[in-house]
Amino acid sequence: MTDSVDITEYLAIDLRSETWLCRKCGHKIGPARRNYKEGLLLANRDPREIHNPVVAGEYGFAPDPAWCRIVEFYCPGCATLVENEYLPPGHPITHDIELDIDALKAKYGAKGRAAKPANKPAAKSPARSPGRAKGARR
Amino acid sequence: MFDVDLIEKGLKPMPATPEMIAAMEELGPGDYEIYSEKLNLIVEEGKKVMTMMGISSMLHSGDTMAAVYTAEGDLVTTACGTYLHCVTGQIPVKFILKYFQDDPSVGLREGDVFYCNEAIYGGIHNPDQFAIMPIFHEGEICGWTVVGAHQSETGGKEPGGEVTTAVTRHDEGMKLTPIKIGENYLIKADLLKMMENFISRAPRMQVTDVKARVAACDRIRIRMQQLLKSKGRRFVTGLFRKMIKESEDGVRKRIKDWNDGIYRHVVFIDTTGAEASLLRVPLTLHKKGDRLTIDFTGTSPEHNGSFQALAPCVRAHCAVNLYQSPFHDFPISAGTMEPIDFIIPHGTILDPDPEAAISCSPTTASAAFPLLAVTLSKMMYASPQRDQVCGFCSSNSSAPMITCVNQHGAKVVDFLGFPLNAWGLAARHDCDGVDVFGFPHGPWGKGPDVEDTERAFPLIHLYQRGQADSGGYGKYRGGTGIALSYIVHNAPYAIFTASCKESKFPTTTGLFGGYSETVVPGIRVTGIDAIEQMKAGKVELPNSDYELLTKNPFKGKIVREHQTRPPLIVKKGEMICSSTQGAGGYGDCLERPAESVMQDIRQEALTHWTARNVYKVAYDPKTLKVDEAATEKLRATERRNRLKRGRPYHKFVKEWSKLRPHPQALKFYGTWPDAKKNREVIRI
Repeated sequence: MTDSVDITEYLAIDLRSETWLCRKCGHKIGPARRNYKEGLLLANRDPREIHNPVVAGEYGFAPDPAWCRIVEFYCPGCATLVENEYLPPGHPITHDIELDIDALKAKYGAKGRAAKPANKPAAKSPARSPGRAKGARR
Repeated sequence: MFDVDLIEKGLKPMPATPEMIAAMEELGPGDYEIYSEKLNLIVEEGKKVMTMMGISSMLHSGDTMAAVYTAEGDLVTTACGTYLHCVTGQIPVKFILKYFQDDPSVGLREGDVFYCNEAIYGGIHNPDQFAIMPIFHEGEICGWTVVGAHQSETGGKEPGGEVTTAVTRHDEGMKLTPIKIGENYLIKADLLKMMENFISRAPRMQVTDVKARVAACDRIRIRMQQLLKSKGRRFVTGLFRKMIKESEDGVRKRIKDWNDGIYRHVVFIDTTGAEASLLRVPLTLHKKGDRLTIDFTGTSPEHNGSFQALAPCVRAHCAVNLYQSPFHDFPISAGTMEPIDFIIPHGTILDPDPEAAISCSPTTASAAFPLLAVTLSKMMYASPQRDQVCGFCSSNSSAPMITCVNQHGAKVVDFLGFPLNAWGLAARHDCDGVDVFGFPHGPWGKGPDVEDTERAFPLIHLYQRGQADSGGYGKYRGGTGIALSYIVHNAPYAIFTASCKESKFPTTTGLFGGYSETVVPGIRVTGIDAIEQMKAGKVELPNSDYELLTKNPFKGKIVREHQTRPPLIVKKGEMICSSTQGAGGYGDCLERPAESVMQDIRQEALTHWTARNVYKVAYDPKTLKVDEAATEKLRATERRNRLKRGRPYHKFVKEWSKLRPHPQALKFYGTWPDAKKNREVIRI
């Protein structure tokens, strides 16, 4: 996916076609200028299917299903669980990533590229003070 | 009464004057590196003085800070504790400069000591108390020092400082605007007496810890005056400005590197403090160029309960996330906040009327932690800061406050510090989270030992250990919280209160398909004398909340309730649980290697139920030997099931949007679903 930019663990954007892609199977999810969730499959899960309540009734160890549902988003190509949301039943789905595609294309050029590997900062922090190293306890 | 403009702008540094810039440019090679660290050591020494002198548990457990500010009141550096207080410490200093410096009835002189705990002057809530001293050199103010710590008693209508049943600010006890409590380096005994009178449930703690804060300020004042004497005012001014500028320049450059766009997330609090109800807190993060705007538009309207926070408290909670995660490697100075703007709508639970009850504000404002963690993570994944992608530490604030005459005959009101420092840290893009990580408001918290707690309070721990399944599931799992049960011992009773925002609805969500933490109920067992039963040796002791609930080994009455608790009397031999949550998982749980799932079971971080039902692993439950082929079949079946139950977006939304939560869930939510104001709040 040399023309693409990795956006999340499971999503990339192909800059030439301005399309959301699944990073696991390459499935074309939808237009990059729209909410990627519109191109996924959605399921309304009872939270007790995921979190064992241990005991029945109010105030167990699972969210209350009358107050909270888990909306799962699957890739139609490979069924990867791309995202989920814990929402009150009926609450609007969140448009969580709305990128400025023109700025993205200007930044990465027409060809695009994958994000730089983690843990290898592109530029050294200009401001770290010697005694404030990462992980140092104060 | 208070200065909204000052409160809103007080977190940002004052513009640099030509003199400051010239002084900064005069610094020689190595000056910044050497003397910025010197300042760090000075504030560290101040914090240590406070910790060694003070007695309240929060002062030892990490809800503290000691900091140095410029002559204008901008944060230069701090030793935490928590980042909360270092940013809010700026506002009372700026208030004193603006209103009292030239007022002949107050004035500002060397040796003055100010003190405050009033949140509407920029603080968090009134348990957070601050000592403030100006730093003079050759007759001129060259800087300030502020030292703060949470104190678990305020003289409110409930003990413990976080007054869950408060309806207005008048239920919450002592609230001191910045007042001068000392002159010529002497604390005024009459004002200490006044505080002692306000805090009559724990007078010894109040007086001792005021002195501890002031002593820490004074130590920092002494060290700063030594530095000023050796290097001069101009050098210190230049150093201060350089530390602020380095943060600002570095933060701007980092923000500029991230992808422009709008990032959103929404979380829900499930109580007003007095009554269960959903309260919505959404965040829209706008990123353009080198600036961020953090916008809370859409938050539920204010109410008559205690679970709300004033806007400075919300900004400070955002600062905790920003200083701790994406900008962790820059100096902790006011410069970090310069490129960051806030939109916090008035009349909501994040900026109610000043008459509102807000002593549970950290429980409310900490909704900002998962909100910022998720939105920033979605922005930083495609950046060199991918290693900072993390759902943050859970923060439901379930730690109880205890009020009693302890086994030594002393009147005590205090937080139980261990659960406050025992939340899970979320999974990251390349590793699991951290079990029983710590204190979400700052990574320096210290949970007291069991023995420390049992020595100070009339309690015995039935169990205190990691809680299986409490962390979120995923390719990488979130860190777990703890299972914790106290038995009242050596006292006829103790009174407990607690504030928590998520016993029905979890707030700390996962990332990229990772599941949320679980919720945790409040549990009590009444009508028993567990100590006598254990002495008789006839009880099979439970080792977790799960065993306590399912086996009821003490044969008592088990009460399950919201973890937000108004004052409850727990009698000798009865027990109360104060378990904490883990944090969110990361990625699709079907991608977690089956062997890692078995390791989770061995570590008692996971139950068999979850291994089978969520991770879809086939294994021998006795040997934990994995059947890889059968696991692959189970997971392939689950993927097929996902495709079967999944609906296309528009078809799903058509059905989904007809649903409504339970009516009680919407009682204080606002209009559905956009959470606009739909009731008048009358406070008397």
